[in-house]
Amino acid sequence: MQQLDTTVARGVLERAGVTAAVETVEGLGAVCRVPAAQTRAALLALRDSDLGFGFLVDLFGVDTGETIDIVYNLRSLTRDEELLVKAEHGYDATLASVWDIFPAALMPERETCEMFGLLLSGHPNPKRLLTTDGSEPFLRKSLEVRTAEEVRDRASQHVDAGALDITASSLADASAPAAETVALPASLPRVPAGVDVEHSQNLVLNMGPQHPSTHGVLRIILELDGEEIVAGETVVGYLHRGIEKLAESRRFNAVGTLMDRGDYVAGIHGELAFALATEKIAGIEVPRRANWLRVLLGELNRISSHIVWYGPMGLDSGAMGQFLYTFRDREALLDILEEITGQRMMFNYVRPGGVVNDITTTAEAKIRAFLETYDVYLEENAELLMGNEIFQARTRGVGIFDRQTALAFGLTGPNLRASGVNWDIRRDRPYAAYDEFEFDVPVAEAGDIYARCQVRLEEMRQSARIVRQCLDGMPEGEHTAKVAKVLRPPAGEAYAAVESPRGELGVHLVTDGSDTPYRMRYRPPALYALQAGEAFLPGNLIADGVVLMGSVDLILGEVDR
Amino acid sequence: MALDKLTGENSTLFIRSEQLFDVARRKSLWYMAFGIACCAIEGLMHASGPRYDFDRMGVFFRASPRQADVMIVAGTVNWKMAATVKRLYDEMPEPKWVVAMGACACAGGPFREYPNVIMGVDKVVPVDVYIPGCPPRPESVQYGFITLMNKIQAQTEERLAAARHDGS
Repeated sequence: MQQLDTTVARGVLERAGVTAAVETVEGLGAVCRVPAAQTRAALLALRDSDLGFGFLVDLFGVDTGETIDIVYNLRSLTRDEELLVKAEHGYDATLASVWDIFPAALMPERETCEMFGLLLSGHPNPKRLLTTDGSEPFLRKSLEVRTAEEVRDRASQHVDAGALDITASSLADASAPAAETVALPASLPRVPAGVDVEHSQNLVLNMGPQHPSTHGVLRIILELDGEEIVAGETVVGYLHRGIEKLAESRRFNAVGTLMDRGDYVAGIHGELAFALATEKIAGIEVPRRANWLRVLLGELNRISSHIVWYGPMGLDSGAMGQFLYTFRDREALLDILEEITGQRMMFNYVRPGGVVNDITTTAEAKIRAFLETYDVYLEENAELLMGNEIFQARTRGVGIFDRQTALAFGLTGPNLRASGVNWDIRRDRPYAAYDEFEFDVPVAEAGDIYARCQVRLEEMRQSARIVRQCLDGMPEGEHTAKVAKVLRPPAGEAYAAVESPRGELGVHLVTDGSDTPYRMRYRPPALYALQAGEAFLPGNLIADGVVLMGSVDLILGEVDR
Repeated sequence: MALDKLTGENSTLFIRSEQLFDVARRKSLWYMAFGIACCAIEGLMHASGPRYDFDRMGVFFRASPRQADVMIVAGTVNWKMAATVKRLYDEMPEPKWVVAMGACACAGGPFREYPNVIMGVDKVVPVDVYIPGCPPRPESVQYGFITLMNKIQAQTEERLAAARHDGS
């Protein structure tokens, strides 16, 4: 990663007429503070200048106690530089949407506004995202979580579910002046303004939240003309459990339990992202062996996670057998993970400073035995589904995200690489011990569903390759650094990202010197994939829409957090 | 019971209809494919996958609540989800049972402190079997279903005993 020259950024902003303060902050890199009213101008200038900050990594808010900082995390892939743009807002402010500059901001903006009690202007579909009407702005610091007494007093809370109002109404600020919109990506079929259920002349069909092919509690509202989708709107929040809020009341080595349950099929990666961010702030040096163990477990977890995508991908496209074959392999993997970490899914294995325990000799033998059979099984599986003519006919040329669109919508991981962008956090921002390993980063050009399948399949092969290197070259040493039982990192701010099976899983951590985080932002790659899927539903047939949503690999635990 | 002796030619079996239905219900508990969170991977996907093979116990998934006997609530229920859970429960035909799987569905689990989370699905629908764990292993879910089968049988016997006591 290149360090951004702050004078260049200052010059770009000055030419756009923005009064900004740009500085370099330890742990974060370049940070730029802009006045709230000039955010749009600043972002537009940064995107269109030579700096080329065309990729919005994340958008979130931080309640500092006096103001609400809205943070835009920008990345320039051409120059390999990063920049945080911060804009201060008051507690009753209106956030001007930047979705036409960065379509990736569509859902994060809605989430930020409801969670901090702000209004939203200039957004095509300014509804609440995760919560329903009447919910408090949970992420404000003034709001407390339930106390132990309240939790103990369970009987007092009776729920009349039939009378619950679950409408999520608009957060739009009607009085705000309309901003001038800039040109949208050319491939976008229509403005993602949701489905107007009341005034639509077409058939409106509801899918979910209970539907076998929505991969959890996703609800999709479809407006149909015959079998063709005219408009699609995804409704999420059915699994919103406040991971970000609860992390503010957990100690640093206990937040891993929450991260596990965020992206629940790839727990190691969530834990790792949080541990990396904590280590950055606390300045903990991790032993080499611990880093290798992190890589080993991470890659085993990646295979097991891709399996959960590959099997149901078959189900979505009408092939039941795939599910049974792949879950046979996953059972063997979970046995290994269980032996090392003690749990099948919720590992809580990676902690700040290292990992919980070393691998056993029997585990090593099991991994070797697994890899031997898996090489054969993987090729067999690939033949069965990917080699199937019907599957190919259904997935080739369907649901295409071209390069520009994929970047504009903030896609990461296999979804981005399937659109021809050669970007992998493991190689381009090496963490743990990935710089010591040899592996290829698979890239496909087509950007359709089949390309995404190809990339993931090749990733599984590469993961097996990394696991082999891990076993052969595992260094001796301690599996964890000496870390205090109760960590109290100094006040600071850090961003750490890992390449989870779904893409860039980032943790933006703000600490204040106490034994709990001040604010933890979980960057959910699946949320960004979901909004791209939603925007590209129109024009597809219903059956293709189902495969499209499946192909971006959604985990609703991560989308809703 | 030597079944071949009972099913021979001209053989007749006298059984109370209640008992006959009881056998049918216990041996084909079809659950609704409705996974909420992490538990769904273990309790629904792995349990019906090739190793644990729920199918051999007569437990199989149905996509529609109209065809289901059991609802496995596999995950955290929050305020937005509660109405859907209740509605799905109402849509299931009688007799029906609910299995609360995992710490979240039992009592809110690790998220119980968050105001948006309902502390246990029993606040929304009546629950027959609670399976602790976070997430419970597929074996636990199968044990939960065996418990549910025993419970169904016990209820039948209770009803029969009550009927005998009435002298009907």
